[in-house]
Amino acid sequence: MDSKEIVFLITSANISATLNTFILSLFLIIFSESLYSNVNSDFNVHENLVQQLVKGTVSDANGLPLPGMSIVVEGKSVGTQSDYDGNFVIEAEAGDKLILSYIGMETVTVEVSSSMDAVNVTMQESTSELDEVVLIGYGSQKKSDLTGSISSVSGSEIAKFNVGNASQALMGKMAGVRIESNGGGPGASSNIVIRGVSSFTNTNPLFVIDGLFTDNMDFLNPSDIESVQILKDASAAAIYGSRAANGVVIIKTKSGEGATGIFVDVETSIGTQSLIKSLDWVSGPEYAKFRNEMTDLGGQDRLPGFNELYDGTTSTIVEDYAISDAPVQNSSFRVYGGNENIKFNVSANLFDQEGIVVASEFKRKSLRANLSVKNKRFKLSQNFAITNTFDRPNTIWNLGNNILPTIPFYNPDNEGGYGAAIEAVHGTNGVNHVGKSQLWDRNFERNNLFEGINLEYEINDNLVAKVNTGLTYTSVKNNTFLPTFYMSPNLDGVIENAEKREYSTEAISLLAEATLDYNTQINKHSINALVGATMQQNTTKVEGVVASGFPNNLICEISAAENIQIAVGDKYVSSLESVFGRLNYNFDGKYFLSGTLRRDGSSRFSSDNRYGVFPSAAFGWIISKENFLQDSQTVSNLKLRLSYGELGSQEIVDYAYIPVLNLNSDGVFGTGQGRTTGVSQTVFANPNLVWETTKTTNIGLDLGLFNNRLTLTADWYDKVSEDILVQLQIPPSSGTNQPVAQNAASISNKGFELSANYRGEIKGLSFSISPNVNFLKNEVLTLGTNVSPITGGAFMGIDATKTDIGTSVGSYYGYQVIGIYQNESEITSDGDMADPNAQPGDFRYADIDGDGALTSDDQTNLGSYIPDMEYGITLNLEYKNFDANLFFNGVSGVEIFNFAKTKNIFGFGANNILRDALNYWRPDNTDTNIPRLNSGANNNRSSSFMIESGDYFRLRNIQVGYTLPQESIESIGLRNCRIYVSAQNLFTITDYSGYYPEIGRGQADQERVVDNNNTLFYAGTDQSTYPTSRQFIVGLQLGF
Amino acid sequence: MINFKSFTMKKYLKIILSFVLIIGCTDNFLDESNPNTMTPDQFWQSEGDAVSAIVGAYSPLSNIFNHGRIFTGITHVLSDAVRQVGDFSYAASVFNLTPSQGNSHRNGWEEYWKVIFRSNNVLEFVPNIEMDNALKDKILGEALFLRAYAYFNLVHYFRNIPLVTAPAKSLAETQQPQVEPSKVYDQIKADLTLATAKLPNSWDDDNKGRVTAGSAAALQGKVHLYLQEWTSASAALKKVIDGDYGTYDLDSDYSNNFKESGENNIESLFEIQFDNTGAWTAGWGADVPSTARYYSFANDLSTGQVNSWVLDMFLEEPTIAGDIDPRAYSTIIWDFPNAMSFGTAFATKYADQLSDNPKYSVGAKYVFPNEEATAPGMTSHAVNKKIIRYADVLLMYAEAENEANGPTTAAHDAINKVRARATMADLDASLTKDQFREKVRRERVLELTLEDLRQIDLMRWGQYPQRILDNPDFRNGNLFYVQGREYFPIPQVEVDTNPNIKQNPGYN
Repeated sequence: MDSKEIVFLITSANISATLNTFILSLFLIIFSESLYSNVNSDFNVHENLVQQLVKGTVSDANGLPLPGMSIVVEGKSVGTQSDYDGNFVIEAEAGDKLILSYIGMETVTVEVSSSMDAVNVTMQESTSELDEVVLIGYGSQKKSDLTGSISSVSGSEIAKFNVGNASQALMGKMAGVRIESNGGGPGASSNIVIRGVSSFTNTNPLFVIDGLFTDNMDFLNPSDIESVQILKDASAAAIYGSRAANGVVIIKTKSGEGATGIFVDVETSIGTQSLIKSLDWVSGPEYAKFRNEMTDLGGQDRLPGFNELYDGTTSTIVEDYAISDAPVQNSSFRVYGGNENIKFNVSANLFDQEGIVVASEFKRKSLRANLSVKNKRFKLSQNFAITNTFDRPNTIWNLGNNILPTIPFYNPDNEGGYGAAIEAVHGTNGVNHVGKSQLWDRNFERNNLFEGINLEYEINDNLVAKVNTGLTYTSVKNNTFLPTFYMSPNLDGVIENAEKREYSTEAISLLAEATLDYNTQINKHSINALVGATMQQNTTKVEGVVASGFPNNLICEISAAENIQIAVGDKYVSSLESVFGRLNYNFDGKYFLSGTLRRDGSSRFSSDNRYGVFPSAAFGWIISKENFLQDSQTVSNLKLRLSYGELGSQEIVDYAYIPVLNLNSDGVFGTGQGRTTGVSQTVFANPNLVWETTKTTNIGLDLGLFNNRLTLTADWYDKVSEDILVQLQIPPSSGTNQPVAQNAASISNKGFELSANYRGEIKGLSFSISPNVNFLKNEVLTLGTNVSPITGGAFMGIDATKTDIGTSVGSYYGYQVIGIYQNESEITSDGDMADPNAQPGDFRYADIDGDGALTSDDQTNLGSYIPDMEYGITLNLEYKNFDANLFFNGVSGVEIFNFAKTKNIFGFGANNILRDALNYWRPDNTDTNIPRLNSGANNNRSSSFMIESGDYFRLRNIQVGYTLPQESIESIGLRNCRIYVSAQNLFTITDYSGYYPEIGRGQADQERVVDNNNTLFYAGTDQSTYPTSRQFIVGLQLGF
Repeated sequence: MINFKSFTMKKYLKIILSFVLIIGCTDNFLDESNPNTMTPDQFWQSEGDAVSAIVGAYSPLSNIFNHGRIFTGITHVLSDAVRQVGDFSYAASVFNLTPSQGNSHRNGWEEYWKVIFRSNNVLEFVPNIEMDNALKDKILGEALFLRAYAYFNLVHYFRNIPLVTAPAKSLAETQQPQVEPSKVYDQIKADLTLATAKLPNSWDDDNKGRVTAGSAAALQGKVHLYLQEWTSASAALKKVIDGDYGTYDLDSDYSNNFKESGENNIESLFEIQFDNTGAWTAGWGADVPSTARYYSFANDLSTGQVNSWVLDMFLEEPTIAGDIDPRAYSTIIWDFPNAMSFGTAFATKYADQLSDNPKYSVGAKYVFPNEEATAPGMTSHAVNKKIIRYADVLLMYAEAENEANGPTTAAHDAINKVRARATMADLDASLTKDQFREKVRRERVLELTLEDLRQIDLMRWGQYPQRILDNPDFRNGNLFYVQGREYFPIPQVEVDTNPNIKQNPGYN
């Protein structure tokens, strides 16, 4: 078999042969010894030349060594990086060109001569980012060669943030990438939404971490991250086919590359967090007065709890008992280095954050060991990480039903020790949720194990074969112990029978993939071709038990429980099998063409619909290399990018296409009237389910001005997602009443993204400023026949959101308040538009449908949580040994559905009220937007009264550091010593009246959401979201 | 140092190759079957499967959405006897009856279609299972009966319904058109004829409560009666009375029919089986093993109000001994001497109401507030609900026989047997046909009130909804019926999802 046949075999396998044969053949061929020589003789054009080891040193203009410099042999897959002292060794031949590049430096090319024994290169600072190498799927590419839309953030930028979850450090950094923080709780996760919501089920991008696939990045120690790149358009992401519709996040963790020897980095920081804004709650006496006015106006007797039984002084403000300053600390330790063949990186991290809300905390312990071994053409690398997190979210501290200010917080007579309202005294049986959140023991413990092994073999100078295998294991244990306690007879205010709930989810994912990467340069034609195959299997096991009846509150393990109430166990297995190929071609470094094709097979679909093909194509043109611009002093770079591609999403539940039987359709029979188990079909399945498909057109422009001192990147995209899964209600006369998933809806996302960078220097102060902005319009185009608009955001009896054709996903829906009725004649003149029970002081609503009557059709779109515009500005300053990093970000065109208003203005007598509530309408106080007291259901509707602007602009992060001069620390054996202070959310400009406009998708009283699927339609509804805090941190970084 | 051409390297290659082989040789890598539950393909193989499937078909009858509470609630409230029930939401949903408002009628629609779908599955797949033929016949008979019973309810309450006699094979097949009600009745009658032939006269102790030939024959008679096919009704019911399908008789104690001691007694031809286990909250009555199977609606009845005309009728005619009809005490409580309501004197508990209306009465059937010191928990009331009692069979026979042949001796014997248990005198043998008809109708009130039959009776006698409209005081607000709304609306969800459905008259 000669080499031509090899190529033929690979491409044909791509189309027709089964994967098994393909992978086997590939490796039989690659590794068969006899074949090796054949391949070598055909492919290796340099075979007559003598390989030599070229040594070198790189330093900057000041003579300081430059570590981490990338050195590659042009046209070959040979490369290395400089070590900490700027030294490198590379295998090359006489006549080869070495390309030395580094972010922020001008690229240097050095030709190797046979007489050469050492290369000493001085790099000049560059004002161009274009030589930066970015990770693309299954490979890397020079930024200047990109045809797709990719954003990246380096680890050093992430390191400027002191965050529990690395995703939070990405917020606002990349145009078109929205990081929705789920409130400000310790370790709070984020939803990463790339170029808009394009599915109703899953909006998470695919995460590729060191070559393995995961569905989040929560387990990562942020300081382990070397770089994050986000593949935004279809051309960039198409190599990931059926899982890339929501975009792809590629993360590389730190390795020992670039370092020779052994280095130690130690970093520790400690800080404090505090509440940014207190709400203006009324005091106990004020509240009592308010309640008495309420009963007086309603013609009822005063309630004793606010009258004769109130001591007149008690003033219990929830915040006093729930919120306090809280410490956060972070320590990490990293050892890395190696020699020319072996590189290692071992790191450990401890992160401990207490929440500003009582009974909340987050702890993470992580350990990472990355190792690579290289020998000539063979390279083996492995990435291992283990992470344990412990998370106590307190999602209930501020629920609608909470301690009244006239009641002492503690009540030693109640079991558990907390006071609450009692019907006979306060007119309601209340709950003290701050107290309850402390009585409950509710936590999540997650363990994550990650192991990837990557084998790389250079068959010849043009062809590299890789095998990538890996395993990820995740376990989530969700524990809740509800001890016995008593506050009031309220359903939520008493637990008579202690209960323990334990749910665990264990997921194992196994991956095996192989790729062949071919590179060649023939005259001005440069070709890179990649083919590969991949197999992945995910197994998830869910188990849970609910038990009750414990001897006392100290004994809370299941074995001690009197009865097991619920025990569940389910297992889900899914597998994916794919082949893919990519061809990158460029002519003369000017014209670029890229084509990608991936074929996926997924177990989640029936055998008839199992395979999907995802193509993409892209074109790039570096206009500035054309003659008419080549000599321009102004325009140093101008590049046009065009791409189109189709991506899939297979994120539907496992087995959805298979009908199932309910094994629990009981009947009661016999003289003993016992249960007999029955079996029935309770749901139909849709065997025709297919992938959700997203089609994206992207037009991009890269511009570099003034020797690339100023760079601009602009992208416009039009993304249409089709076959979106919705739940189709089928006729109940079928004998089942459960909806069936079907591919019916479509969603459009159109947007424009702009990012810029400017570098400058003024009298020794070097600075860079990088703003980015994006505009997005999200719209549901179709929902499908018989599909009802999707409602969500339910809280306190109101559905806040309704997703319908023509709205953006998760839009608020309700009545438009146009004022308050000032007198009876206004009510009379409104006729049927006035609620039958309306009185002066009640809301007046707009007649949206124009029929003159107040009906449910008068509800309308009231905005959404999807911003019209998002922006971020990073500012870096360096002066002598001082450095400063400031990051601002903001959103505009955002609405928040402030449920806190329902709760804290209307009050309903179950919780304290805000001072605004005292400004209620009464004949002598008519200039107000707060309706009258005792107004009941007429005013408590989903309405524009609850909608507020969620726009903000903030200084999200500022860090100022001082690096001790080299000469002063060398004597004590230190390589590096930097101290810094930083602050997060130092200021925020917003009109939002709640705690903080960072709402996420939180759903009140739900246990911390593990996946976001059910809460997409809760986005932006402030159901007592955990307030974001302000942080002050001091830190120390040491290098040995 | 590793040399690529050395033997050492070959070892590496072998490791890689074996790895690839292990992964690569997994057969049918993409075929994942659901390990959590069975699929229909794996089912319908054994006798056990057939038994489980028929149990699954009974299941929707006893859950909370159906006879357990919700649908039985709304159908009770339709009648002229019930002024309101403890949980006002039933009545509220009737008052506001629109296709989409109120879930009660939707629940009934859904649960009876479940029974039909599951019975259709049994009828489709069980014939092919190799199993004991006698048992197979019984199971097919049960499926035929359940399908007929479900259709009888649907056609009565919704009238214009699809007729589905085989399970849908695809999603497209779930959109079935409505048919003439007569076609549904024809199917019911055909099913019941077959069911009567296949079903046993009785079941062993472990299976008591399953339907019998007697159940099917009695339902057949009832269907004929409701269609005013008097001769057929009379003939069918006579066979039950004659013992063709086993021995049925009246329980000597009327009240026993509504107590646990009388479950599946000699008088019972078909009753919904409830038990005392299962959590109230779990799944709200879905097919979950821990779910309640209680007749919790009885609680709503016992705290509701029964219109005074019922009491008047009981007081109209004394027993032979000159007492109040003893059935009255099992049906309602009113202000009789020493009347109690769950341990409190009735006169005290309802003092306010009695001052407005001295004949204020509340429901008693199935719960007996007069005898119980405390109300049985809503979540533990598991007395079976009677659907067809022998007393009903006798009264239906008397009615059919009178309509077909005039007040014959047989007709007199039948009604007098029911009256005799209540120690009421025999009817005057010289009654005319019309007088006899009135007597039977009266007797049905005395015997069967609060057994969810009254509204159906009024319908077939042509008195509904006029009687409600003529008597605004029968309920708190006479918002009850718009003219022309004799039937429930087809639930909006069905109209929305099934393009072949037209809404019932009166709701457009």
